[in-house]
Amino acid sequence: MGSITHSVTWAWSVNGARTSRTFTYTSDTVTRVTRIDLNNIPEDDTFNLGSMPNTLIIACNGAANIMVTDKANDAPVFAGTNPATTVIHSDATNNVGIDAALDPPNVDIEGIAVIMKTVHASGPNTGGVTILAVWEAAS
Amino acid sequence: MRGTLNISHSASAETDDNETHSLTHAATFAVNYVSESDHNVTTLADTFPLDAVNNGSIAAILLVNLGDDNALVSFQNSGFLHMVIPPGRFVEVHRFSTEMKAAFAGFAIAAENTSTTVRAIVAWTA
Repeated sequence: MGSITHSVTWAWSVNGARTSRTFTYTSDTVTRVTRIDLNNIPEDDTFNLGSMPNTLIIACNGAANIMVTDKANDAPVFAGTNPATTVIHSDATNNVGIDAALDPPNVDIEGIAVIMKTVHASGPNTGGVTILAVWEAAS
Repeated sequence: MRGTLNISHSASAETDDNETHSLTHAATFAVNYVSESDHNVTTLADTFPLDAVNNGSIAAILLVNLGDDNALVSFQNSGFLHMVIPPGRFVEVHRFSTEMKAAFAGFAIAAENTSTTVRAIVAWTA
Protein backbone atom coordinates (compact mmCIF):
# COMPACT_ATOMS: atom_id res chain seq x y z
CA MET A 1 0.00 0.00 0.00
CA GLY A 2 0.97 3.60 -0.52
CA SER A 3 0.30 6.59 1.64
CA ILE A 4 -1.24 10.04 1.65
CA THR A 5 -0.61 13.07 3.82
CA HIS A 6 -2.93 16.01 3.45
CA SER A 7 -2.88 19.07 5.66
CA VAL A 8 -4.81 22.31 5.75
CA THR A 9 -3.89 25.40 7.75
CA TRP A 10 -6.14 28.36 8.44
CA ALA A 11 -4.46 31.40 9.96
CA TRP A 12 -6.53 34.49 10.57
CA SER A 13 -6.20 37.81 12.27
CA VAL A 14 -9.26 39.90 13.05
CA ASN A 15 -8.92 43.10 15.04
CA GLY A 16 -5.39 42.11 15.97
CA ALA A 17 -6.32 38.74 17.45
CA ARG A 18 -4.31 36.05 15.69
CA THR A 19 -5.45 32.43 15.50
CA SER A 20 -4.13 29.43 13.61
CA ARG A 21 -5.53 25.96 13.08
CA THR A 22 -3.92 23.03 11.28
CA PHE A 23 -5.57 19.71 10.51
CA THR A 24 -3.76 16.76 9.00
CA TYR A 25 -5.01 13.51 7.53
CA THR A 26 -2.71 10.55 6.87
CA SER A 27 -3.36 7.07 5.55
CA ASP A 28 -1.21 4.08 4.58
CA THR A 29 -3.80 2.40 2.41
CA VAL A 30 -3.45 4.29 -0.86
CA THR A 31 -3.89 2.11 -3.94
CA ARG A 32 -4.09 4.67 -6.74
CA VAL A 33 -3.28 8.34 -7.29
CA THR A 34 -4.15 10.55 -10.23
CA ARG A 35 -3.32 14.18 -10.87
CA ILE A 36 -5.08 16.11 -13.64
CA ASP A 37 -3.81 19.51 -14.76
CA LEU A 38 -6.04 21.65 -16.93
CA ASN A 39 -5.35 24.99 -18.52
CA ASN A 40 -7.48 27.16 -20.74
CA ILE A 41 -10.10 24.61 -21.56
CA PRO A 42 -12.65 26.45 -23.68
CA GLU A 43 -15.87 25.52 -21.98
CA ASP A 44 -16.07 22.13 -20.39
CA ASP A 45 -14.39 18.79 -20.32
CA THR A 46 -15.01 15.43 -18.74
CA PHE A 47 -12.72 12.89 -17.14
CA ASN A 48 -13.38 9.24 -16.57
CA LEU A 49 -11.77 8.23 -13.31
CA GLY A 50 -13.04 4.66 -13.48
CA SER A 51 -14.35 4.76 -9.94
CA MET A 52 -14.90 7.44 -7.36
CA PRO A 53 -11.82 8.36 -5.31
CA ASN A 54 -11.83 8.61 -1.53
CA THR A 55 -10.16 11.99 -1.58
CA LEU A 56 -10.64 14.67 -4.18
CA ILE A 57 -8.70 17.91 -3.98
CA ILE A 58 -9.39 20.64 -6.50
CA ALA A 59 -7.41 23.85 -6.83
CA CYS A 60 -8.37 26.55 -9.30
CA ASN A 61 -6.54 29.73 -10.11
CA GLY A 62 -7.60 32.00 -12.89
CA ALA A 63 -10.43 33.97 -14.41
CA ALA A 64 -13.01 31.25 -14.54
CA ASN A 65 -16.06 29.77 -12.96
CA ILE A 66 -15.76 26.08 -12.35
CA MET A 67 -18.29 23.44 -11.51
CA VAL A 68 -17.38 19.88 -10.68
CA THR A 69 -20.13 17.46 -11.45
CA ASP A 70 -20.98 13.84 -11.80
CA LYS A 71 -19.97 13.03 -15.35
CA ALA A 72 -22.84 10.66 -15.99
CA ASN A 73 -25.70 12.57 -14.40
CA ASP A 74 -24.55 16.18 -14.49
CA ALA A 75 -25.05 16.38 -10.74
CA PRO A 76 -22.53 17.90 -8.37
CA VAL A 77 -19.82 15.64 -7.05
CA PHE A 78 -21.12 16.12 -3.56
CA ALA A 79 -24.07 13.82 -4.12
CA GLY A 80 -26.77 16.43 -4.22
CA THR A 81 -30.11 16.17 -5.91
CA ASN A 82 -30.20 19.52 -7.65
CA PRO A 83 -27.48 20.26 -10.19
CA ALA A 84 -28.17 23.97 -9.75
CA THR A 85 -25.57 26.44 -10.93
CA THR A 86 -21.90 27.03 -10.50
CA VAL A 87 -20.58 25.91 -7.17
CA ILE A 88 -17.54 28.06 -6.87
CA HIS A 89 -16.01 31.00 -8.59
CA SER A 90 -12.48 32.14 -9.06
CA ASP A 91 -11.07 35.33 -10.46
CA ALA A 92 -7.67 36.42 -11.56
CA THR A 93 -6.44 37.19 -8.08
CA ASN A 94 -7.89 34.41 -5.97
CA ASN A 95 -7.28 30.73 -5.79
CA VAL A 96 -10.19 28.53 -5.12
CA GLY A 97 -10.31 25.09 -3.61
CA ILE A 98 -12.50 22.21 -2.66
CA ASP A 99 -11.12 19.45 -0.53
CA ALA A 100 -13.36 16.55 0.07
CA ALA A 101 -12.97 13.26 1.79
CA LEU A 102 -15.53 11.33 -0.16
CA ASP A 103 -17.39 8.20 0.73
CA PRO A 104 -17.61 6.03 -2.39
CA PRO A 105 -20.76 4.11 -1.40
CA ASN A 106 -22.60 7.39 -1.22
CA VAL A 107 -21.06 8.98 -4.28
CA ASP A 108 -21.65 6.40 -6.96
CA ILE A 109 -20.06 8.02 -9.97
CA GLU A 110 -17.32 7.00 -12.33
CA GLY A 111 -15.95 10.30 -13.42
CA ILE A 112 -16.15 14.02 -13.13
CA ALA A 113 -16.80 16.95 -15.40
CA VAL A 114 -15.05 20.24 -14.85
CA ILE A 115 -16.88 23.13 -16.43
CA MET A 116 -15.14 26.44 -16.91
CA LYS A 117 -16.95 29.53 -18.07
CA THR A 118 -15.38 32.82 -18.98
CA VAL A 119 -15.89 35.70 -16.62
CA HIS A 120 -15.85 38.11 -19.53
CA ALA A 121 -17.70 36.78 -22.53
CA SER A 122 -15.38 38.42 -25.04
CA GLY A 123 -12.15 37.54 -23.30
CA PRO A 124 -10.08 34.40 -23.13
CA ASN A 125 -10.58 31.83 -20.44
CA THR A 126 -7.35 31.92 -18.50
CA GLY A 127 -8.51 29.60 -15.78
CA GLY A 128 -6.54 26.63 -14.65
CA VAL A 129 -7.59 23.71 -12.51
CA THR A 130 -5.58 20.98 -10.84
CA ILE A 131 -7.28 17.90 -9.47
CA LEU A 132 -5.69 15.33 -7.20
CA ALA A 133 -7.68 12.12 -6.79
CA VAL A 134 -6.66 9.43 -4.31
CA TRP A 135 -8.13 5.94 -3.88
CA GLU A 136 -7.66 3.98 -0.68
CA ALA A 137 -8.26 0.37 0.26
CA ALA A 138 -10.88 -0.35 2.88
CA SER A 139 -9.33 -0.36 6.34
CA MET B 1 -11.56 45.31 6.32
CA ARG B 2 -10.92 44.09 9.82
CA GLY B 3 -8.50 41.29 9.17
CA THR B 4 -7.10 38.63 6.90
CA LEU B 5 -7.44 34.89 6.48
CA ASN B 6 -4.72 32.76 4.96
CA ILE B 7 -5.52 29.23 3.82
CA SER B 8 -2.87 26.77 2.72
CA HIS B 9 -3.08 23.17 1.63
CA SER B 10 -0.61 20.48 0.85
CA ALA B 11 -1.17 16.89 -0.16
CA SER B 12 1.23 14.18 -1.21
CA ALA B 13 0.25 10.66 -2.12
CA GLU B 14 2.07 7.66 -3.51
CA THR B 15 1.35 4.04 -4.29
CA ASP B 16 3.59 1.00 -3.97
CA ASP B 17 4.58 1.20 -7.61
CA ASN B 18 6.01 4.68 -7.11
CA GLU B 19 3.12 6.58 -8.64
CA THR B 20 3.45 9.82 -6.73
CA HIS B 21 1.61 13.10 -7.02
CA SER B 22 1.36 16.19 -4.90
CA LEU B 23 -0.68 19.36 -4.86
CA THR B 24 -0.48 22.62 -2.97
CA HIS B 25 -2.60 25.71 -3.08
CA ALA B 26 -3.07 28.82 -1.02
CA ALA B 27 -5.52 31.68 -0.75
CA THR B 28 -5.72 34.96 1.13
CA PHE B 29 -8.97 36.76 1.93
CA ALA B 30 -9.89 40.03 3.57
CA VAL B 31 -12.31 39.09 6.33
CA ASN B 32 -14.22 40.82 9.04
CA TYR B 33 -15.43 37.83 11.02
CA VAL B 34 -14.32 34.26 11.64
CA SER B 35 -16.29 31.83 13.79
CA GLU B 36 -15.20 28.49 15.20
CA SER B 37 -17.57 26.08 16.91
CA ASP B 38 -17.89 22.39 17.75
CA HIS B 39 -21.18 20.60 17.13
CA ASN B 40 -21.97 17.35 18.95
CA VAL B 41 -24.56 15.37 17.04
CA THR B 42 -26.34 12.02 17.13
CA THR B 43 -28.18 10.17 14.40
CA LEU B 44 -30.97 12.71 14.75
CA ALA B 45 -29.91 15.59 12.52
CA ASP B 46 -29.36 18.94 14.18
CA THR B 47 -29.38 22.20 12.32
CA PHE B 48 -26.92 24.97 12.97
CA PRO B 49 -27.92 28.26 11.43
CA LEU B 50 -25.15 30.77 10.94
CA ASP B 51 -25.22 34.29 12.23
CA ALA B 52 -26.04 36.69 9.44
CA VAL B 53 -22.78 38.59 9.70
CA ASN B 54 -22.52 40.41 6.40
CA ASN B 55 -25.14 38.10 5.02
CA GLY B 56 -24.24 36.92 1.56
CA SER B 57 -20.51 37.30 2.05
CA ILE B 58 -19.43 33.85 3.11
CA ALA B 59 -15.79 33.46 2.12
CA ALA B 60 -14.79 29.99 3.23
CA ILE B 61 -15.92 27.00 5.26
CA LEU B 62 -13.86 24.27 6.86
CA LEU B 63 -15.55 21.26 8.46
CA VAL B 64 -13.55 18.71 10.45
CA ASN B 65 -14.91 15.44 11.81
CA LEU B 66 -13.34 15.12 15.26
CA GLY B 67 -15.38 12.08 16.32
CA ASP B 68 -15.50 8.37 15.57
CA ASP B 69 -18.52 8.09 13.29
CA ASN B 70 -19.21 9.32 9.79
CA ALA B 71 -20.64 12.83 9.74
CA LEU B 72 -23.45 13.57 7.31
CA VAL B 73 -23.46 17.25 6.40
CA SER B 74 -25.82 19.31 4.31
CA PHE B 75 -25.32 22.94 3.40
CA GLN B 76 -28.80 24.33 3.94
CA ASN B 77 -30.57 26.14 1.12
CA SER B 78 -27.65 25.52 -1.21
CA GLY B 79 -29.56 22.95 -3.28
CA PHE B 80 -26.64 20.59 -3.02
CA LEU B 81 -23.29 20.14 -1.29
CA HIS B 82 -24.41 17.22 0.78
CA MET B 83 -21.41 15.26 1.94
CA VAL B 84 -20.08 12.48 4.12
CA ILE B 85 -17.04 13.27 6.24
CA PRO B 86 -15.35 10.16 7.67
CA PRO B 87 -13.65 10.37 11.08
CA GLY B 88 -10.43 12.36 11.06
CA ARG B 89 -11.12 13.99 7.73
CA PHE B 90 -12.04 17.47 6.68
CA VAL B 91 -13.84 19.25 3.90
CA GLU B 92 -13.22 22.79 2.78
CA VAL B 93 -14.85 25.01 0.23
CA HIS B 94 -13.93 28.59 -0.47
CA ARG B 95 -14.96 31.26 -2.96
CA PHE B 96 -18.62 30.40 -3.35
CA SER B 97 -20.77 31.63 -6.19
CA THR B 98 -22.98 34.66 -5.65
CA GLU B 99 -26.05 32.45 -5.77
CA MET B 100 -24.66 30.12 -3.17
CA LYS B 101 -23.71 32.92 -0.81
CA ALA B 102 -27.14 34.50 -1.05
CA ALA B 103 -28.97 31.28 -0.27
CA PHE B 104 -26.72 29.66 2.31
CA ALA B 105 -28.26 29.57 5.78
CA GLY B 106 -26.19 27.13 7.81
CA PHE B 107 -25.55 23.44 8.25
CA ALA B 108 -27.52 20.33 9.03
CA ILE B 109 -25.31 17.67 10.63
CA ALA B 110 -25.97 14.12 11.78
CA ALA B 111 -23.94 11.08 12.73
CA GLU B 112 -24.43 8.08 10.46
CA ASN B 113 -24.50 5.38 13.15
CA THR B 114 -23.92 6.67 16.69
CA SER B 115 -22.58 10.14 17.43
CA THR B 116 -19.75 12.44 16.46
CA THR B 117 -18.41 15.96 16.74
CA VAL B 118 -17.92 18.32 13.82
CA ARG B 119 -15.84 21.47 14.10
CA ALA B 120 -16.99 24.24 11.79
CA ILE B 121 -14.81 27.24 10.98
CA VAL B 122 -16.52 29.86 8.86
CA ALA B 123 -15.11 33.11 7.50
CA TRP B 124 -17.00 36.11 6.14
CA THR B 125 -15.42 38.57 3.75
CA ALA B 126 -15.04 42.26 4.50
